[in-house]
Parts: sequence; C-alpha cells; structure tokens
Amino acid sequence: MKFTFERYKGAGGKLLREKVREVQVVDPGRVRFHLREPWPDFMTFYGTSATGAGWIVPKKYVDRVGEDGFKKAPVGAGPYRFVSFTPGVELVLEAFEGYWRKTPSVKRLVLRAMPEETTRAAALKKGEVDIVYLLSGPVAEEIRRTPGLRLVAPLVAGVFWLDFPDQWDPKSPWHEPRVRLAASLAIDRQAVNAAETLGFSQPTGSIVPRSFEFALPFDPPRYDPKRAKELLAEAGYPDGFDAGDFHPFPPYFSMGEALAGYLQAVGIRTRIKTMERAAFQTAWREKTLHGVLLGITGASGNAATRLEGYVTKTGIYAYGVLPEVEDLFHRQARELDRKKRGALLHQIQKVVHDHVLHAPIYQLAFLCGIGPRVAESGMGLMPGFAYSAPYEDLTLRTP
Amino acid sequence: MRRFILRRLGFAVVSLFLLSVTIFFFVRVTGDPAVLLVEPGASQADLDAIRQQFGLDQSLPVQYGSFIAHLARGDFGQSFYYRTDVLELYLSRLPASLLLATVAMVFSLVIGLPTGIVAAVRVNGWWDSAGKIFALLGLSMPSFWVGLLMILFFSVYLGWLPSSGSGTLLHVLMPAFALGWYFAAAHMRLTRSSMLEVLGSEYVKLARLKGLPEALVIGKHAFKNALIPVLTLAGINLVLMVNVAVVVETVFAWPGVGRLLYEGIAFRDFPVVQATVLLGGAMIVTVNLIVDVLYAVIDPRIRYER
Repeated sequence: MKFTFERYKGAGGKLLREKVREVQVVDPGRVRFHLREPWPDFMTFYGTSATGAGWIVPKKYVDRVGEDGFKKAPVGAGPYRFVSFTPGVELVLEAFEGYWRKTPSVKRLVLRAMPEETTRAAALKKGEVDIVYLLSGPVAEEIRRTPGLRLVAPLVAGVFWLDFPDQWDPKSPWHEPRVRLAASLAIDRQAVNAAETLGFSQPTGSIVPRSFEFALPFDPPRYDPKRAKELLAEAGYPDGFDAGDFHPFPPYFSMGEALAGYLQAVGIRTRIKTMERAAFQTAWREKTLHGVLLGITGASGNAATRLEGYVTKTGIYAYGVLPEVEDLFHRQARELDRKKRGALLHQIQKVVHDHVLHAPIYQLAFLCGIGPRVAESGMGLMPGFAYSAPYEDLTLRTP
Repeated sequence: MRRFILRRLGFAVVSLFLLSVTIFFFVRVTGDPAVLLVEPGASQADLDAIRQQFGLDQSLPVQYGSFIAHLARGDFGQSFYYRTDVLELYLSRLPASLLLATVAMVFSLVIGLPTGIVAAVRVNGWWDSAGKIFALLGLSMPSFWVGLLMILFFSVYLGWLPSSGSGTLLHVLMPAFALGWYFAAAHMRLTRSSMLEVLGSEYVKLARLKGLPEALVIGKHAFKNALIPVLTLAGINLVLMVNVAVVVETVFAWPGVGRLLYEGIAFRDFPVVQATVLLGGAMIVTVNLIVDVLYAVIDPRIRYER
C-alpha cells in the first residue's frame, strides 16, 4: 500500500501528497496514514473511484518489469488477471482462481468498446455480447420489448440540474430567487424522466444524491407552471424574459430541448446552444457560459465533495458563492465530530435549496441491457456505481 | 524529369508542413484535453498537473517546436488517453483499415464499373436512368445510415452476419459494403462519362465500321481506354477509404484508423489526432506524387508544360 500510494501519479496525486505527511507500515497487514492536518474526507478521496489511488500494485513486479512493462501487462489485486488490451478496442481478462474473496464464476471477461449505441443494442439482440451499457430511452425501450432480454437501470451518482450562472449578476433576472424558483416549478421532471430514461431515474430536489454520506434529501419541486408564471409576474416579468442561451451538457441535447420547452411555456425564452463535450467543460470551468446550463456530475464522494465544486469559493464550477455557505463549508472541513459535521453539511444543503441556487432535475438511472445468458449482471450491486461489479459476483445461467 | 520530380517533392513537403501547422493549431482551439482526463470534480491543481505532464502549459510556438523536433525523429508522441506510443497505436489499427478499404474498393468497382458501362452503352434508356438513380442514392444516402440498416436487416433479423467487431471475413462484409456504396456511385458516374466520351471517339467508330462485334468494341476498344481515369480515381479513393472511414468504423466498431481518429477527437487526444491526420495526409500526398510522376512518364508534355 505504501508503495502504491507513493507511486500514484493520477489527478488527485498532488492533493494527496500535500495532505499526507507519511505512510507508515505498522506490520505486514497494516499501514497508518499520517496527515498534516485533519482531513475528514481522506478515505473518500483515497479509497474510492474519486481518485483510484487505493488500487494496489505489487512493488516487486513493478520493480522487475519497469513502468513500461507494467503498462503492457499490469498486475493488481483483483479477481481477474490481465490477458490482453488493444487500446480503444477490447480488454480481455481471465478469472484469478486464488482471489481472496471468492473464485470468480465467469472464467473470461471481454470488455469491448462499441461507440455506437444502436450497434451495442444489435449485438445484444444477436447474442454476440451479454451486457451493454449506456442506452438512451428509445433504444432501451426496444431492449425492454425484446423477449429474452432484460433492461436494468441502477441509480448512479449522477444528478442533473439547471444552473443559472447569471444569478450572481444583480442586473440579471436570474438574480431574483423567485425567477429561479419559477424555472424550477416550470419543469415536469417526471415527463422528462419518462422520455429520457423510461421513468427509471429519480426526480430530486438536491444536487447531492440521497445515497451520499451527509446528504439531506429534498423532494423534487412539484410541476406547477401556473405558479411559475405567477412568480415571474411577482418578480417583475409578467411577460417572461429573454434568458439567453441554454447550454445542455453534451450529449444530453434532447433533454436540453425538452427542458428549454418547459421554460419557454412559462415565458423564459432560451436558445439551445449545443457544444462539443470538451468545449463545454472548458467553458463551464472557465465560467464563460451565460444564460442557463444543464449540468451533471457523476463524481463519487459524499455531500461535502459534491457541494465543493459547485457552491464554494474553491469550486471549479461555482460562478458565485453565498458567504453563509462558504463559512459553513470551512467549518465542516475542520470538524472532526461526525455528527456536528453532518449538521453543518445539512445546513449548507438547506441554504442552497432555499436560495434555489440550482434547479435539480433527477438522479440518473443508467440504462443497460442484459442478455439471456446472464444470471447475475452485477448491475446495482454496488450502490451508486454504474457498471457491473464486483466482477467475481457475475454469474451465467447454467444451460 | 529530375527537376520535375524534385519540384513535385518540394510541393509535397510544403503541403505536409502546412498540414502539420493547420492540424496542430486547429486541434488546440477545440478544447482543453485536461478536463476530459481528470476525474469529475477534480481541482484546478489537478488540472494544472495534467497540463504540465503533457506540456500543455507551454506556449503554442514552444509546443509546436517540440512537436516538429520529435516528428523529425519519427516520434509522434504519446497518446494522452491511452498513454502509449501514438505511432504504435496507429500501426496497430492500420491493417484493419487496409483490409476494410480493400474489400470496400472491390465492392465499389464490382458495382460501379458494370453499372457505369451499361448506363453508357444504353445511354438515355431505362438502364441509364436506373444507373443515374443508383448514383444519386449512393451519393446521397449517408454511410452510417446504410450501415445501421444493414445491421438491422442482415444481423438482427436474418442473423447472417455479425453485427460489429472484427476477426473473420464475415465481419468485414457489412462495413465494407457501407463504405464502398458511396464510392461505387462515384465510380459508376465516372465510368459512364468516360465511356460516353470514348464511345464517341473516332477509333471506336472505326472499329464499328470495320464490323467488329459490339461486345469486342465495348470490351476491348472502349472500356480499356475509359478505365484510365476510373483507376486513377480508384487509387486516390482507396487512400481516402483507409483514412476517412470514421463513421463506418465507429458504427461497426471496426478497429481501424478512422475509429482511432474519432477516439482522438472525442478525448481531445492531440497526439493521436495529429498523427492520424498527418499520416493520412502523407499517404494522400504520396499517392498524388506517384500519380503525377507516372503521368509525366507516360505523357512528356506534362513535365514540359509545368
């Protein structure tokens, strides 16, 4: 573990090295991490897919084959051993009989990259593959209708929401909380959910998934276009207003169209502006987007890590900050009493909700198709995780 | 002749230099690859670290200088996304693209040449109209749509062919047809116009006056001469098929160069995009150079005129 930690060069490496003073090997089965200062979220960063820093690699092997050799034939501590990897094409794995938890039931896994959704669905229907990920509503419906195939839709950590970047500009209509609330009430979340994810997603009133530690759940705002129009009128916009561009997170353009339609119906007029993913994310981070944007994040973590990026001063996507939220966030980051920390994080979520900083839409269900050969697909076994896992739990039907 | 070849070589080098400048700077205005390489929610420090790791924190002229210096040593760099040698990655995908392009070319010629000949021989008749409709369909139906229709029909409904991927000869049939379809229409049109031109020439009239059988006139005298421009186009199209089958390779999950380019663009993998475009460009420039030189060898007027 010590070797793996010191070798880690991923995106979270700088932060981990800044905060961890020393990794001490206490005995062959135990390590102790010494932090420079209290960091309640250390394990959230270190031990989850937030960084992936905790995936163990064997020192002796790395020393023997070198970094290049390791890249070509990596060895980890998981239930499958590496067989081959063709970048962008496929990864082949073989069951490792001596895995500590259990011997995997499926002896060989082939993970194929199939960029086109329709092709994935066709391969599943033809029985060429057993599990396909990432389906959209119409294709998923076709899978659901096909005899012998199953559609599964685990809820993942991804939450969609509308962001109003101009709310921090006092001259913008979005500065007025009633306008933001009107936008939120204008949306029929259940209808969008039905169209985009066949109703499997979970409408929500918070950008923090319910399953996250320290999450304060909020019910989704009700669909009330009449009240939305009243709120706009009360805020001084009886005829609505021109809200500028609507930027949907790529590739969720059809969802963006639907949401823009709901806003339009109450008088909030926008123009859909689609962007390529990297361009969108760069613009979002550089805070050059205006009008309305449909955001999503699927980052794992807890309420604190989810909120940090969007409502605090250090948040890379935060266009503005409420001083109250900033103060509470700093306090929770230093708080070692779990209960008190939870209370502070709940308080932040309540402030964010009451100020309608965002209009949360729904927590995303990840639509996947399962073929007839599969008994246990592993989908949804790990809460919040989008893919089949753990691999050792996958099983096939006996013929 | 030597001067002619040297001048052509000079043009080729200038073309590739301009291509390198264009692709290098254009790919960099499309977005920041660092945002796609970090975990969601990563901090500014994480982003800066990624940029530093890939040299993206340097000024553009410095980055370009380094790119050219490495290129001169045959080093196209490391893929940002796959963390592997880009040239190795490209060469691992090239055989699949060559196979796909070759089979697609066979399809396009097998369909395009006979329909073009028949349309020319039966000009303004029923066959000609059918050929024109075929050409219109071929040029207007997008290959991804043709591909998806084929997957649904031959793979899902009939179950005859694998829906995607590679590995057997059966895998290549549908993507090759989807790719060759467009080019078949182009070859048909050129064959038709070229045949019409040849059929109206004096030596074909003479052959007919001599009483040669029509099949011999068309097959031996007309078709052989009409074939020259078609084969020239086919040669260039073959290079295009190797390098621009982005959509077909993506739809059929075919592991070729086109899909590599798609992945490079999607992940903002600058070295992959640069290498794929430059190597594709180099192929096209080389083929054009060879064609130019061969023309000059065949027809001396060309080398003296230019």
